[in-house]
Order: sequence, then C-alpha cells, then structure tokens
Amino acid sequence: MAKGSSDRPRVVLLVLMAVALTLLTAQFRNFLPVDDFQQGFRDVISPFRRVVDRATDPFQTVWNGIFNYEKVNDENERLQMEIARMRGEELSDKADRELLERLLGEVDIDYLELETTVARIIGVPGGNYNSHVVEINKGTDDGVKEGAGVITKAGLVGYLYEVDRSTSLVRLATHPDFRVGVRLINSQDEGLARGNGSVGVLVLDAGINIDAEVSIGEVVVTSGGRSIFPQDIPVGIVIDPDMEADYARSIEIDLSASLENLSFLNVILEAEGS
Amino acid sequence: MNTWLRVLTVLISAAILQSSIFTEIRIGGMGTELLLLISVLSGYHGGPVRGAYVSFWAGLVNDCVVASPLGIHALVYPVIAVGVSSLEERFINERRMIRAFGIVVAIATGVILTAVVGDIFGESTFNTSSLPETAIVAGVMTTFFSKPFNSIVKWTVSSGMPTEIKTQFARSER
Repeated sequence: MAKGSSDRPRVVLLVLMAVALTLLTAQFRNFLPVDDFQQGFRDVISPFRRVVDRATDPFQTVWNGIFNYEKVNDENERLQMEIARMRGEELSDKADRELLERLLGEVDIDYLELETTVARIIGVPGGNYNSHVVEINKGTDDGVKEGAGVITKAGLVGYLYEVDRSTSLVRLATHPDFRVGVRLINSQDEGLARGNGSVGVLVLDAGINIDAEVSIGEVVVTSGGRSIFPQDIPVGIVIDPDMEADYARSIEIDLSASLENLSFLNVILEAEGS
Repeated sequence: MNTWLRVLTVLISAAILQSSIFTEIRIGGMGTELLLLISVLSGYHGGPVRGAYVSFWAGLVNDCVVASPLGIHALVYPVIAVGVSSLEERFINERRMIRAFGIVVAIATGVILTAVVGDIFGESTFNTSSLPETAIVAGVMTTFFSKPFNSIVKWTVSSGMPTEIKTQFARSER
C-alpha cells in the first residue's frame, strides 16, 4: 500500500509529461486546433482582462510611480524633448535623418506609401517567458494578419506572430528568433539579418561576402523578395562593418526605429504589389 | 462547490490577473509568475497527485496566456509541484521566512526550467544573459503576492483531501 501510494505520483507525473510532449508535438506540426484553442482562450478572457485592467488602473499607476519612477522621469524628459523638437522642427538626429531620406530618395524608395493601420501598444505579455515582444490593440477584427510587418515612420519594428480577435503580439526585431532579408544601399549586397537579444541592434551575418565593401553609416533596408516584409523599409545604419573578419562576417546594424520608446506602431495591411 | 470547479475558477481568474494587472506589476521588466505560484501552492497544499494535476492545467493556461507553444509550461509546472510536495513535510513546521524562501526557490527554479525547456524546443524567448536575475526577481516578487493566493489555493485544493495526508500531519506532531 505504502509502495503503491509513493509510486503513483511518479506515474501521474510521467503521464502528464507525456501529454504535454504530445501537445507540443501537435503544436510544432501546425496541428491547427491547438493554435485555435489558445487563441480562443485568449479571446474569451480578453473582455475580462480589460475590465480588470480598468479597475486596477490606480494600483498600476501607484506601482509604476514607485518602481518605475526613474523610467517615468526619463520618459517625461524624452517627451518634453520630443515636443521641443516638433515645435522647433529641429531633429536631434537631423543629420542622420537627412542622410537616410537623401539615400532613400536616390534609390526611389517610398516606404511610407504602404497601406498600414495604426496600432497602440497596450503592454507586454504576462510573466517572463516572452522578452522582446509587445502587445498591440489590433487583431483580426481590424484586418491585420499573422506575419504582417510592423513599422514606424523611422523604419522596421518587427512582425505579428500571434493575432487574436482584438489584440496581437508583435515580435520585435531584436528578438533572437527574428530574421529579415536586408539590402545594403551602397553596395546593393543582400543578406539575412537577425536579432540577437541586444537592445537596438541587428546582426547581419549571412549572405554578405567577406570582401564586400561596407562602410560605417551605410543605410540598410529590407530586401523584399520571399520575405514577409515588403522591400525598401528602412532597417537602420551599419555601426560595425566587421572588416577584420577572417571567415565569418558579423555586421552590426543600429536599428533606425527606437524599440525602447514605442507607443504607436503601423501594421502593414497589404504589401505593395501583392 | 466541486473541487475541480474551484480549480477551474481559480485558474481562469489567475489567467485574467496574470494577463492584466500583473503585466504592469514589474520591476526592471521582470514580472510575477502567478500561475507558477498556484502550481507551487497546489503541490504544497494538495499533495503530489492533486498538485501535479492542478499544475498541469495551470501550465496549459499559462501557455495560452503568454502565447508559448502549448505544453511548455505544462511540462515544467507538474515537476515543480511534485518537487514542492515531496519537500512539504520538511517545511510545514518551519518559520514563515523559511517557507517564503522555499517559495522563492521554487518559483526561480520553475522560471529557469521553463527557459531550459523552451530552449530545447527552439524557443529563444528568454534573455539568457539576465536569466538568473530574472528568476530571482520573479521569485521574490511572486512570493510578495503569495499570501492571498495561499489561502485561495488551500481552499481550492484541500477539499476532500485523502486521509493519508492528515495521518502524516498527526505523525509529525508526535
């Protein structure tokens, strides 16, 4: 009897782990009901979330006031600077912006013509599992689709990787699983850039020849093609061309869109020419 | 109320809280792990078998809430619950601070295990450079909120408990 009762938890544990592994297999094999189940669950609790969010708003404000005071202060300072910048039309990064606009103009790029919808960032997913992910207030009801590119006026931000009825999750460009085909404006070389978990930096380490001429400050845009992103969306500028590399080159790109201070995003509804 | 109806109610309520107010309750970007806390407490109060079942469902609910592949958290949480349950006898008569420390360790272990399992399945979602820090901060923050949830989970999973658990308590008091 004692032996049986001590063995049972192990049996239960093994059975539950086997069920979890089966579910994981189903998910990775794109067994649709699993995805639908998760989305359905989030859709069902979504209205309750909004109610709780509103009801606990004062508490959240107090918490942020205590634990994020410095961040709020920084944000306040940033917004004041932004207002000053808009009033005086003096961009702090005017030189970079002008260079970007001039270079994009030279190659006849007008990514702002893309059909987009404006989305507001409503937070990050709960817990600690998802870093480099933000949640926005647009979903399938608003016409956005999974895999759609997300940009700001400054350039590439990420893409939608989970779309529910009224909300979506955006995987930011700095996410370690993020990949995007890019093109260097000067050399017209194309390669594959990826996020590496670092704030504001992409790494271009595939597709560029070891002897290709890449200069600091060179503008990088999306290459399009079979990518989920339309071509010619600004990605950023090269900050480290890794010229001394012997065999594997790792070019660092500073993202043109600041992913740290996002409030509103543009979700691409339809790629040009699609 | 039926035990499993209680469990369902508590898990859905926890899911709503985890995806609303607890997305904002963060320190340095690191947040609380409410459903992991429920798993730990269900292992503590409900014993290994009931704890494993409750934490499995808590894991599935968390997978839905954070949009991770269905089964990642469900694979880890029962292990934590059974582990906590096996240590429960040693902690039951300890001081409150020691038990709180036990919860911190359990939560931190759960966070690290989830990261490891996620990584095995190709999900590079955790920032590995800050993982130990994340695990500790998440453990401390979650423990900070554990008091009210302790009573709720105890009420949820303790109804109709097998008599052998009561016998264990009686023995430890002698």
